[in-house]
Amino acid sequence: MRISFKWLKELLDIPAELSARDVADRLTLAGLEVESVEDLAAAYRNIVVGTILTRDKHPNSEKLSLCTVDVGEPAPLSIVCGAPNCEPGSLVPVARVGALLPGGLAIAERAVAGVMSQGMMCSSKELALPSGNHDGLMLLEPGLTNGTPFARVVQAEDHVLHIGVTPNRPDALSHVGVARDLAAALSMPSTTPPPNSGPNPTPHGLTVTVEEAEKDRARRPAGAAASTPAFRVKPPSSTCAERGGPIDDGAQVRIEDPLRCARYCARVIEGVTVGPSPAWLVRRLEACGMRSINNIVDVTNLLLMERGHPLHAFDMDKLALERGRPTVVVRCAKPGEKLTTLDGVERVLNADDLCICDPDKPIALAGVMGGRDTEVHAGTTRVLLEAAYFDPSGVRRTARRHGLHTEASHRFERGCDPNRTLDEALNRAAQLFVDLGGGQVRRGIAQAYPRAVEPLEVTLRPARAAQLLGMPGKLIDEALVARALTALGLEVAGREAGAIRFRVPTFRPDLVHEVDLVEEVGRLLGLDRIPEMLPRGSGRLMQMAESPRMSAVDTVREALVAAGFDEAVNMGFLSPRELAPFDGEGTRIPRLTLRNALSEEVSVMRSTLLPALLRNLAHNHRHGEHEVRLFELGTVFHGARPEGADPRPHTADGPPGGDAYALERCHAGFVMTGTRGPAGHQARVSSPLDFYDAKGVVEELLGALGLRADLWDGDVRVVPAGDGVAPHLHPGKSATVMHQGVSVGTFGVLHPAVGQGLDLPGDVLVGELDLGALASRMPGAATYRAIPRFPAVRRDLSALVEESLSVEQLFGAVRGTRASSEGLLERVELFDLYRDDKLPKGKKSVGISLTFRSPDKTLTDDVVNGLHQEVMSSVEKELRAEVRKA
Amino acid sequence: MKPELSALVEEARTALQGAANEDAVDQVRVAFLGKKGKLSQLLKGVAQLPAAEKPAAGKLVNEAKGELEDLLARAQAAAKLRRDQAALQERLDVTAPGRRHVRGHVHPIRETTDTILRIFGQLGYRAVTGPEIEHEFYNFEALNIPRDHPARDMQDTFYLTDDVVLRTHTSPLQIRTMLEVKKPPVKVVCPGAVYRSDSDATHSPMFHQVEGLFVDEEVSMADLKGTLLAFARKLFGPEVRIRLRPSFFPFTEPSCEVDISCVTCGATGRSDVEGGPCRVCKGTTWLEVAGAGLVHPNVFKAVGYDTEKVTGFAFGFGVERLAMLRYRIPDLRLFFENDVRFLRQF
Repeated sequence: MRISFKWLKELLDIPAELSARDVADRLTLAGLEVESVEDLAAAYRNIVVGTILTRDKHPNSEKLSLCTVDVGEPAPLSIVCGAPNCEPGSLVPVARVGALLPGGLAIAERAVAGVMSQGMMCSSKELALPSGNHDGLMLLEPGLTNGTPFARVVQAEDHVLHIGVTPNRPDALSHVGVARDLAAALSMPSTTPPPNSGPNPTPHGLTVTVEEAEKDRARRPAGAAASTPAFRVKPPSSTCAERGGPIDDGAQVRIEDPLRCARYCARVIEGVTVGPSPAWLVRRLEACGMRSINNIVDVTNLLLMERGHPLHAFDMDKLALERGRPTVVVRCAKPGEKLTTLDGVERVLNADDLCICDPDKPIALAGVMGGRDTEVHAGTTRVLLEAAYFDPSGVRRTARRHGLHTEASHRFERGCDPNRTLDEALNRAAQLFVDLGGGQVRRGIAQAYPRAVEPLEVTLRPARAAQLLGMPGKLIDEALVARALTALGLEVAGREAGAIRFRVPTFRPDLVHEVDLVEEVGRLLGLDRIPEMLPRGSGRLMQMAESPRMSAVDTVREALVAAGFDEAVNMGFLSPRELAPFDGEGTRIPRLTLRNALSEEVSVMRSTLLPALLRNLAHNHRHGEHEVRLFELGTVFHGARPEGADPRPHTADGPPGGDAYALERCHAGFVMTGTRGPAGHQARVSSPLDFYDAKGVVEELLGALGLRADLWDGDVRVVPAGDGVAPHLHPGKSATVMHQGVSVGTFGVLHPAVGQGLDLPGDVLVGELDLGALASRMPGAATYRAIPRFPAVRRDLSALVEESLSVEQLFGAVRGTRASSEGLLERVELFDLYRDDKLPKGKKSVGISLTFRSPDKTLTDDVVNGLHQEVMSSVEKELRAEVRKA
Repeated sequence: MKPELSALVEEARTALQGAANEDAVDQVRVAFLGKKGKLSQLLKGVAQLPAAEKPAAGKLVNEAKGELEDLLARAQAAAKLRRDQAALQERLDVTAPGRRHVRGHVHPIRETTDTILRIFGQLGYRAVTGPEIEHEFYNFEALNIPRDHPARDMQDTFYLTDDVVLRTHTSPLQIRTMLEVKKPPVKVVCPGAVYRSDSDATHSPMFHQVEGLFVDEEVSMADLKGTLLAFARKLFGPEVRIRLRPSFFPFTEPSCEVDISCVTCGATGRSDVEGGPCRVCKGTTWLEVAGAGLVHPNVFKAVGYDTEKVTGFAFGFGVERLAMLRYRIPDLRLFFENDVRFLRQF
C-alpha cells in the first residue's frame, strides 16, 4: 500500500518535528510495516525555478544562445541554451549542477561548443512531464520566486510510505486507516524509544519499570479523561448536497443472494460532464501508484485510497430498465452467462460468481471488476454510483477463478466496512462528482440491506492483558486500555468487575477475541516495553516419548563425517527423468507429482536420495573435484499410503505423522568417487575405490547404530541384490543389506549406463539405507560382557576352493563344527583371498584365521589341535576344498 | 695381586672395545664393578690376606677400581656420542604435513540446525519431527487459516491434491504435538524442510525452519522475548539485542516479527569495507530472523486445550537465514549446489 505522507499530514496534525522517516518507524513499530520510504521530490533534486535575465548569441554557434539566469542566488548562472524560446523575463525550470534528469542525463558544469555552461534550462519533455509545449523550454507561471524547488511547482514534494499491510488489516488499506493507527500510537503515554537506543540492555532486565509507569501517570494532565486521545484524524466532510429529484424515480436495487451481498447502496448523479481531473487529484493518485482516467473514475479511486472502500460508477443509460426504471440486481450468475470486463476479456461465468446485473444481464463481477459495456466514458451524463459489501470468501473465489486480483477484490477479500465507511465513501464521492463534473445528486439512496452487520462487543480484562503481555499490571490499567482502544475507534460499551466491554466498529473485522484487543494495546504501547523473562512454567514434565529416529540421524551423520564424507542437502523434488534409472522392469516406483510444480525438473517428490547426490557429484567433477564423498540424510517419498487421505487427525493414539498422507521415510544415501588411502606425500599406492569400500562404509554406518555387520557373528546379512531390486546398480557388483529377513538398503557400483549419462568417469560407489527402519532396529544400550580371563589360541586355515564359493558359505561350514557349537570358537576372520593364474583353473585361494577360547579354562594345544582338525575336515568335506597343510 | 689387577683392567678395556652402544657398556660395568662383578671377587681375596698386607692391597684395588671407572665413563660418553650422531643422520623434515585421516564436513544448514536444537535443548526443549507432505488440515485449517482466506496468500503452496500440500511451514508440528501430548506442558522445537512455490535469488522452493512451541500456565510475551533473547545471544554473542515488531500470523495473537541487531555491521548500519550502508541490514541496523507470538485461542480450540487455563508461545526461524548470517554466506543457492569447495569450509 502506497501512503502519501503529504496526504497523511492533511488528515492528522502530525508534529512538525516528525519526518516521513520518523513516522515510518512509528508505524512499523505499531504493526504497519513500512518497507521503504520513497522521496518523490528526489526526481527533481537540484532543479529550481529561474528567470532568464539576458540572452546573447553564442560566439561559436548559430543555433545556441548564451543566457544568464537568476536562480535566487547573488550571482546569476551562465547557461548555454539551444531552445528558441529562451526570452529574457521568462520563468523556466533550471537543472543545476548535480541534477539528474529523468532521461538519465547528469548535469555538470561543462563546455558547450567552447563556452562553459553552469546548468541546463529544461523542456517539459526533458522533465518527463506529460503536458506542455515539447518544442521549447517549459514556461512557468509568473509570480514564482527564483530558486523555488521545481518539485514544489509540480506538487511533487511528498514522500510515499510503502506499507506491507498484513491480511488481517483491511482498515489500513487507506489513508484514513493509517492515519487512525498513527494517531492512536502518538496518543499513547510516553513515546517508545527510538530504535537502537537500547532495549534489552541486560538479559532479564525490565525495560519498563513500575516507577516509570507511575511517572507517566503523573505526566498526564490532571482530570483529563484518559480516554481522550491527544491526536485525532480529521477526515474531510462526507456529506453531499442532494439537489436532484427523489431516488425512487431514478433507480432501484434488489439483492437476491443476501449471503453473498449483505448490503448494496446506489446513488444517482445526473448531468455530469466527464473530463480530465484537476492536477491535485492526478498527483494524489500518482502518489498512490494509479493513473488518472477521468474525473468520475478518479473520484472513485480517490475514495478507495482515502477510505479503503471500493466504489464503482456505472453509466446509468446503459442499464436495462425494469418497469421503466434502471434496476440493479445482485445475484449469482447463471452457468454459462457471459460478461466482458473492463480489461476487455470476455468471461464465462460460474454459478458461484456473484454479479451485479441489470434486469437482463450481468454488468459487473461483484467486488472484482466492472463490465466494459457499462463503463463511464466521455459521453456519460448519468452515473449510478455503487457502494456495497460483498462476502469476503466469495469475492476471493471469484477473483481466483478468473485470475484477477484488483484493488477492489484485495479489499473485499479482507473485509470492508458495510456501515459507516461505506456511507461516507458513497456520499463523499457523489459530492466530488458534482464538484468536479457538475450535475446534481438525486435525493436519497437506493439500497438493500437484508443482513445487518452489527458491531461486535468484546470484553477485555486489563489484568489478563498485563499477564499475556508480561507487562506490569500497574502500567496496563483500565484507563490505559480504554485510551488505547478508543483511539482506534472502539467504544466503551460497559464496565464489569475488572473488565471493560468494548464495541468494535465494523471496519475492524479482525477484532473478535479478547487477545485481539490485547494485541492492539501491546502494539500501540510498543512491544519494546515488554521485559525479557525466562518462563517459569508449571514445572511439570512433558508427557511425550522420544523418537529414536533423530538420534539415529545424528549418529549416522557423525559416523559418515568421521569416514571422510561431506554432507549434502538437496531439494525434496526432482525430475521424472532422474528417477527413470531407478525403475526396474515392472517395479516402477510410485510417483508423487506436484500439481503446480515450478518446472518439470522439480515436479516429482524424490523416492531416493541418489539422483540428486549423483547430480552433485557431476557438478563437482565439472569443477575439477574428483575425490568426492558425499552423503545425505533426508526424507524420501514412496507414494501415498494405501489407506489414503484422511485429513482429520488421529486424536486417539500414534506418533505425530502416523496419519500422514504419504509414505515418508528417512534415508541415508552416499556416493563416492576417487581413490582409497591417504592423499599427498604419504600416498604410496592409491588404488581406485571399489565395491568393498562401499561395503566398508555400510559396515561403519551399521556399526555406529549398534548393528554388527560382522560376517561371523553380525546382526545383518549382505546378499547379492537380486534381479530388479536395484536397477541403478551394476548387476554383479551390488548387494542388499538384510536385517532379520527384511531389506534395509542396497549399495554397490553404480550401473555404468547411469554414470555415463551423467558424464562421470570411472566407477561410482553408491549406497542407500532406510534409516527409519534401522532406527527401529537399533539395540538398546550395550550390556557389559566379562573380559576373557583365559588366553586365546589362533590357528589359520588356507584352502583352495571353487571360484563360485562365497566367504559366507565357507564360514557356514566352520560354524557347523563342534568348536562353534560348544562356544569355543570366538572369532573367524578372512585374512586372505586371491586369484592367480598359477592356481588351478576355476579355483581361488582363501585364508581364514580362527580364534579359539574357552570362557572357563585354558585350552591346551591338544584340544585346540583337535578342534582345528575338525574344522579342516569339515571344510574339506562340505566344500570340496583343498586345505593346505602347514 | 698386582698382576691380577692389571689383567682385569686389560680385560675390561678389551671388552669395552667390543661394546657397540650404551647398553653394552653398561653390561661391562655390571660384569666388572657390579656387586657380583670381577672386582668384588678380587676384593674377597684381599679380605683373606694377612693384616699387614691388607692396606697395600686395598690401595691397589682402589687404584684399579678408579681406572675401571674412568674407562667405563669414557666408553659411555663415546657410545652416547655415536648414538647421537646416528640419530642426527635420521633427521626428518618437520615442515612436511602430518598424516591425517580425512574427516568430512557437516552441511552448514544441518550444523546450524543442530546448534539451534542444542541451545533449545539446554533450555529444556524436546526436538520432534513430522511429515513433509501434509493435509491441509494441519498446514492451514487447524492453524486458523481457513480456506478462501487471504492469509493463504502469505505462503505460495505446492499442491499434490486438493487438500494435500507440501508443508509451507513447520507449524503443523504445533498441532501434531499438542494432539499427541494431550495435556500441557508442551515444550518442543521442530526442525524440518518446508516448501513454497517461489524461486529467485532470495527464495528457494525448499528451505528449512525450526519451530518452537511452549505451552503451559501463564506464559507471556515477556517469556517469549526472554527466550528469544537468550537464544540470540547464545547463537550470535552477548552483544546482540532483539526487537519485537507487531505483525500478523493467523495462528498467533499477538503476533510479531523478531529482529536482531545486525551482526554484520555491529548495528552501526555502516559497512566497514565500502563505507556505505551495511549490505546485510541495508543500513537499518536490524535483521528480521523469525516470526513469533502467543498461540491463538483458535489453535488451542482445534486441539482441545482450555484457552482460559493455558497460554503459550510459538516461534519459527528460517535456518538458511541464520546460517547465512552466521557464516556470512552471500548467496542462498550455494546451500543446494553441494560443491565440496563450499561444504569443506564449515
